[in-house]
Amino acid sequence: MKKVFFLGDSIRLHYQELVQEQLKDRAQFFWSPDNGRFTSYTMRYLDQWAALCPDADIVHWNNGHWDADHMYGDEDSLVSFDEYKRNLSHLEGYIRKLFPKARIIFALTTPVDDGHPRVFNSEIERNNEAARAILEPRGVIINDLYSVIKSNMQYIGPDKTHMLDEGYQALAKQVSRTIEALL
Amino acid sequence: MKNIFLIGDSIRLGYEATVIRELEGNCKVFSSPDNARFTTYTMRYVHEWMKDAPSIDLVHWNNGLWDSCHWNGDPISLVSLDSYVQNLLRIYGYIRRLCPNAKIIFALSTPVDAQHPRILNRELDAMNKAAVKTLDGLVDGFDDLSSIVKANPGFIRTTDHVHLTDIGYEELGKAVAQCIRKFL
Repeated sequence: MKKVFFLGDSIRLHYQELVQEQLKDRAQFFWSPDNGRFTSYTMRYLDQWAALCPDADIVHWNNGHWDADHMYGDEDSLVSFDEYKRNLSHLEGYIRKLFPKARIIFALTTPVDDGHPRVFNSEIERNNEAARAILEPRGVIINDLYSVIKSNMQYIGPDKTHMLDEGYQALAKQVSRTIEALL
Repeated sequence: MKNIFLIGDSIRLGYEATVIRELEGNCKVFSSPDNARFTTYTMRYVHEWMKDAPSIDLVHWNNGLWDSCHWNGDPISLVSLDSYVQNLLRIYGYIRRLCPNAKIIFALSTPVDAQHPRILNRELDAMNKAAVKTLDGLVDGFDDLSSIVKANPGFIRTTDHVHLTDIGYEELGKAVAQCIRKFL
């Protein structure tokens, strides 16, 4: 049975067990116990998390929401666009190093409610395009979770970032489908 | 009685007890309960660390060693020099906003042993230089902890090449307390 490892933020934390349930007869699932937060945080702790399943066959990874957050009304996001690209580029190589036999799937960042005060969909779209441009030529499979939610914005919950249950169900279905294609 | 707030990484955690002891009777010392790790992490959490603090008279702050670290043999440092500088400015702004009446002292990052496999002193020197250039005229002063350890390389633990011996932390703590007294 193939091994799948999840990395990512709280959106990932919400759908990982749904995916595990959907594919329980097809794959074994492992994940980072910690929220992946922002790219430099994932860079710092990836080696500790990877030790939980270094022989993973598939790594499903996301970083983006925290990086794009203009906390406290700041002009700049937590991680600048240039630094985000630098970090994604580095993380791709780092994941390959720590999970040498894994196929990598990168999940695009999901949109926020248009009324979100600190995270802007225009920047998420720009970041997602950059992620695709950096990662796809290197053989990373892009999982377009952005579109899943963009076409169903009613899935976004009252905090304007996280999903309602049906949103996580939809995301889990898409994640399961993407992983299943590699099993 | 003055209120002091310490922000910084494990080096700060190492000298904090000495600072508290040295300032006892004159200052109450508060600090972030968490290791401040790297600048992006401090940016994300500094509001949470300081939200319950009373009116602070002086903030003594450092970030640098984690930012400069090439974790796991990485070709790049955890945070680029450009982002390090931008992050320092933003943290400065946060501290200024959170503690409008406080003096702010930035402590330079201490050097590592030349054998450290993931942190290079020439990069730390470049970051310290950039920090001084960026924060000069904004902060009330700098605490040159780098020079103290450079003049006393025996303070650096030979086991991990970055943290300090008990004597090193004691001396650094005394120096920090002296710096704080000077600016109060």
